[in-house]
Amino acid sequence: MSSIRFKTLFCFVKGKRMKSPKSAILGSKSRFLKIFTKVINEDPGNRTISRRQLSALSPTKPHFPNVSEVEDEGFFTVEDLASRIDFLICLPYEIAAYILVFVDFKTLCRMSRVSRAWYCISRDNEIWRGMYTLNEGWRHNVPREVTLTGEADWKLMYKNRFILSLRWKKGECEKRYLKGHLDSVYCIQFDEHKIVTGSRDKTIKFWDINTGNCFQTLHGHDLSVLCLQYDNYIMVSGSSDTTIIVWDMSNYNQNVPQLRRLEGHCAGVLDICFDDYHIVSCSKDSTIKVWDVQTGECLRTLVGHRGPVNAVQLKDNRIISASGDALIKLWDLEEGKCIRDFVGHTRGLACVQFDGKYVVSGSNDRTIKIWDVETAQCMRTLEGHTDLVRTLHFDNDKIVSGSYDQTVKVWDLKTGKQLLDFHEGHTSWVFDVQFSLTKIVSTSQDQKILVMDFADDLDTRYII
Amino acid sequence: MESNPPLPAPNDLAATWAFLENGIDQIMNRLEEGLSYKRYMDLYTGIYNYCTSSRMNPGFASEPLAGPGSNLNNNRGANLMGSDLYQNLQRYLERHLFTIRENSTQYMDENLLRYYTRHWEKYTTASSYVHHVFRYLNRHWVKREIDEGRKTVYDVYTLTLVSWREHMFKHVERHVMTAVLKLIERQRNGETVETGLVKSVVESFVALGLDDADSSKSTLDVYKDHFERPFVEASEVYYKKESEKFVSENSVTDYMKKAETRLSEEENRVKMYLHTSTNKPLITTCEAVLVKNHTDIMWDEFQNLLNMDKLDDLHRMYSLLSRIPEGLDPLRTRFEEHVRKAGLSAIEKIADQGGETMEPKTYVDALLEVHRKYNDMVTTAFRGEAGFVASLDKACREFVNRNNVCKSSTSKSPELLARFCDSLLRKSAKNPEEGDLEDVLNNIMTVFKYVEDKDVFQKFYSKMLAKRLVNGTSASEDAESSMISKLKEACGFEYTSKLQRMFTDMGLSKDLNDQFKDRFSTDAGDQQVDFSVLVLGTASWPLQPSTTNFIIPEEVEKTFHKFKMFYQNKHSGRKLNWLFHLSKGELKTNYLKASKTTYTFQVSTYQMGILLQYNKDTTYTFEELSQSTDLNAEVLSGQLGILVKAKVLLLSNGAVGEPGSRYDLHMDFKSKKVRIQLNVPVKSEQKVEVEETHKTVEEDRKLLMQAAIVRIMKTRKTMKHVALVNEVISQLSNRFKPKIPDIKKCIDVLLEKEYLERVEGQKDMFSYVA
Amino acid sequence: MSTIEQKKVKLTSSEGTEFQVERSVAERSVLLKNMLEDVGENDMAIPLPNVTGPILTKVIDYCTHHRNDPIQNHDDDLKKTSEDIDDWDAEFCKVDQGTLFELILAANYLDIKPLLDLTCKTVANMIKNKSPEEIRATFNITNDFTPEEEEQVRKENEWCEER
Repeated sequence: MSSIRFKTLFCFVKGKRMKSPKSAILGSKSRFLKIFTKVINEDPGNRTISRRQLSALSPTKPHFPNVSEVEDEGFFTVEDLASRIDFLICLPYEIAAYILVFVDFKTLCRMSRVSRAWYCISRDNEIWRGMYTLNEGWRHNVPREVTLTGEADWKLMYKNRFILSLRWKKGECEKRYLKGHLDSVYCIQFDEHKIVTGSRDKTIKFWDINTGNCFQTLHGHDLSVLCLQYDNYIMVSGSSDTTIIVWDMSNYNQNVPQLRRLEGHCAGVLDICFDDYHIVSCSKDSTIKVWDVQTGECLRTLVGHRGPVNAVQLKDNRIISASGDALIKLWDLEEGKCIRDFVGHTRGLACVQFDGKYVVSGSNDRTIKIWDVETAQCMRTLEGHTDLVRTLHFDNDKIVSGSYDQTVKVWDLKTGKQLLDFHEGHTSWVFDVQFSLTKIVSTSQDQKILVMDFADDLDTRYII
Repeated sequence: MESNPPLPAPNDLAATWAFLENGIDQIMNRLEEGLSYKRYMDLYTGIYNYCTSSRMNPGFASEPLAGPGSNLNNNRGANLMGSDLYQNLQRYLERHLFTIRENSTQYMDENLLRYYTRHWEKYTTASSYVHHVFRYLNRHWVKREIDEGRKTVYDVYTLTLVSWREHMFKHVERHVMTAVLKLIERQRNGETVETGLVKSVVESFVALGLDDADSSKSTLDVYKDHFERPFVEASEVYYKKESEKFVSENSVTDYMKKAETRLSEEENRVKMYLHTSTNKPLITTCEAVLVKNHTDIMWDEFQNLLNMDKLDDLHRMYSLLSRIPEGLDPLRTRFEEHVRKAGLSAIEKIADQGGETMEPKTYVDALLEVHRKYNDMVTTAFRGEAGFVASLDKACREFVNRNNVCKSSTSKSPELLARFCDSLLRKSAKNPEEGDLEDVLNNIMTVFKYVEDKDVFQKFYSKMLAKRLVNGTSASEDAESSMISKLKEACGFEYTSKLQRMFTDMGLSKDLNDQFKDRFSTDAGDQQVDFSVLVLGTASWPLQPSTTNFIIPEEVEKTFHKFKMFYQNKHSGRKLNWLFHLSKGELKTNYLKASKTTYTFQVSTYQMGILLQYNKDTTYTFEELSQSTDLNAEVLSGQLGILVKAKVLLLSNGAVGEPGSRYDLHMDFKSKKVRIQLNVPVKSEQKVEVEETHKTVEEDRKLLMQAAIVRIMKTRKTMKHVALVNEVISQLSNRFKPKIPDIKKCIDVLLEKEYLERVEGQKDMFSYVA
Repeated sequence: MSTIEQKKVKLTSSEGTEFQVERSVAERSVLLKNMLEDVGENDMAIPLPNVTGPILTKVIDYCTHHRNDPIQNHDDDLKKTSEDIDDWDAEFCKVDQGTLFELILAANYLDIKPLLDLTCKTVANMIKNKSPEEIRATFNITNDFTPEEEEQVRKENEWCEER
């Protein structure tokens, strides 16, 4: 073996000299000898597998290119071939890995097919961890215990996230319907375990998000359940019966008792939201009320809208509201005063969401508008729906909207471009929609709840 | 000479470590002998060669190709070369430190500190070399271990610190601290000690504070737990003992000096050789032991110091007690009481001397003297601290408004103050120089600030100002306007607007007189009457209409009518009311045959009316004069009294003012003076005036309160009784202190007048009726 | 950099050739910087047993050109990209693979991070956007997979080609 290698070495030195006289500066024979001697001197047998734990590959062929083999390929001259170096193998491992920090994930995948050794190094967990966490949006969603224990398979995580993002791009998802409500389903919220819906049939239902089974039906409202929100401790629901019910969620698997009923509105409660201290409700009676979460006392009533207030949201002591009077208003929670109006929609509003910076609204004028909360300027108008935009939900990247035109559409928050359009999901008006990293769930007048799962058959353990 | 063994083979761990250990040993133990470039480079290169001997090498892979995720360890790629070196180094450090530790047992106290700090400095210096020499290991193997979440792997320098903590610090720390505390105690006892030793120990303990969660960060935990806590505890014990002993043997003032010195020593100690973060716990503890534990004796001593005006000791007590929470509260209370008493007794003293009629200057000076003294004390001894300023103000307010002189009514103080102003601003031989006057006026404002019934002051001040202006007895226009601007600054524009209006009227009157003279100077035959007039707005001037009728003597009637016409021409619709009781004139005598001199009588208008009757006859009865002048009996008899007393008229038949009394012109009148002042106030009038002034104050207050209530209700619409009363008090506080029953009365009046009404169903709730 | 003549530092390559460079140039190497600070300056030459004369010449070229660059800080959170190579550096890296290989080792040994980045990026650029066959050709690597293994690896990584 080693004699063959020496031959290679000899050719190499010779070829070098012939090819490039300039490189004579390098050309101390002993120098090159040294590199290769060093490699050759390493008896692979001395390296115990247990210590290196480097590769799952078995040695089937010698590592260094053999002159005769190379000649067989016939593409390169002997000299050319001999002057080529398998950097990743010849360099210290830490430097080989460092080189790969500069390539992209696609290169990492492709290069794993080069050889057994390349396969091994291309799967280096640290390289993939870096690759994964460089992705701004992904990094923030890594559960802390994953980064701490070091148990994660970062390449696999990368693959799953990548495929998931591709499916979102293409709109590929598993559709599933949850049936059980006896009338229109008005509102929905879900998390990784359950879906909670409110319906015109006066009930609130809890569904197991994995099996799709309904495991809890709540009776309490005398008319349609129009809106609800929950956290780990309470759920607040609003109804056409003009009341709001606060439910105890701490033991929702067994039972969900009523804690108190808030009365004060003189028409249906159209939307609701709450934080640790306040419940904010809005009503067909064109007012907004602020309630104390702890005591249920009505703290103040915000008056200003001249039509039913269809949607309301609370964020950092500011309230955003959308009304049939075609106005969006921003209010100060403590003072109960209107801070500014957002003027632009030509017909009544049906929905609004607010993340502290942007306000996104949907209207009977069939458009969605994105506003800057500080200036109240409309930054973008999204056109595409052919009927009233009844519901929307957005995160840092995208907006998902549902309309009386029976479609659910996905939009890019930054560019305003329409990304996806789901036509076939519902056979009547869409009432509410919410999405997560892996799902869009929508409800409709057709009495059905549609779950669109983008992560079907993917390992989503590390995706929240 | 250092030996230069050849570099070992890269993959030979035993040889490599032997080679390295030799070098590390040299760095750790014999660095002072120097290190050559070659030796340094050889060590680095030895480590480099060993670490870089890791390669992707197909020779070690023998298992079949595994699927993704089948064995996570596979994804770690290579375990880089390095853990053997790291562990060897770790073991070396343990051995090295064991030796140092063993040798330390023969030392105690200062010698131990010297041993510890010398070895600490040597060890850390050497460690930073070792850290650099091991840089390749740090850059790759250590970095990767940390990235992968290994909590027990540190960069080499941190490893040396962790090792010191484990194998040296933990074992000797108790002895070191014992020595440190002994050393500091000796210094506290007055010995000179080598503080550099403590400083080094502190630095060492601080450096050993490594954050276990993130070794790149440091904490002060080690220093806090092992140095600061025992040190602060020892300090507490030391000072507790010392202070208790000292207090039992010395005076409180001496103790305070001692405590002050000790506290500043401890503050310096932190600066000199401890970590700055120790300042707070140490000083807090010392303050507790040295000050808080002895507050009672200091509080008790305070009154003595006040009584003896010991400013230095007072200041010392203030500084000490200000260090602890609520330490000053009792002092403030006592100080306030002390000042109040001082003020009251000062006033009592002069009240006894002055008797019934209090000289305003004496009174104000007495108030000021007390204020000045204690204001100085606040500034110097208490550093102008806000709490003491408040106590001073409270005390002054008490004794200014409620003292022996104003027993009957709080409005005595503002009255006397206003009188004092008048005495300063009125023409007098005793007027102070202009510069001094300003100071005196400022002093007046000091007292004025404390006066509660500022409206009373305003009343008297405007009365007396009116007099000064009407009588032309104001000493200086500058002084007048300076005083008014001070009042304006203290109480606002509204407070002085009427006073300013009075000055305006004076100016306008002067112009008016000039115009009048110009207009009629050509008319012949009017020259015998020199006439001037002041036209004063009723609203601004606190002047009472005359209480009597009066027939203008025919000698001046023509001029009088001429002016009336002139004025009415200029300002039709304005009504002129003549205030003859405030007017005056001069008469020249032509009837005194015996004397060649002509006398000039300065007279009131009423006197003029009486005397001019004597141009026609030389004797009249009281009834005749009453008829010809139309003066009522009271005024007439008062004026006649003066004329009789001055012997211008001679009384025959009865007493002055009695029916049938007769008054003859004294044809042999004689006087040393050519000008004789007959226009002197009638005694009884003065007293009436003061009472009236006080009465108008009460009336004005009712109006002010009502106006305030209406103003408040107009903006608030509805309001609870208590809130309304409080608001009225706060709005009027810069004028006077309304009494709650008075406010209630005003509310009742307004309810009756239907400005307000009670809200039905809500108790004590009023609403405004538009 | 300054009008004052800096003291020269002597470096000796593996063959014993001596080079003289200014201290600011030598200090581009963190290894040399630390050592000069630890040991102090003296007239002795610094032996560099792992760097040959020709490579040391190249390294000194690089360090001289970049002697006044600001010291890089931690850039761990930034996306590492191989595209940001300026013209001088690109020209500097136009060398045969053997030289490039030696430069990487020297930069790593001497701890000159910008040079290590530059040379590693150059290699990364040789790997990027190439099929496995092209990569093998570029570095003269033998495909040592069995056909079954090759199929398995291909399948395992085909997701990356999805778009």
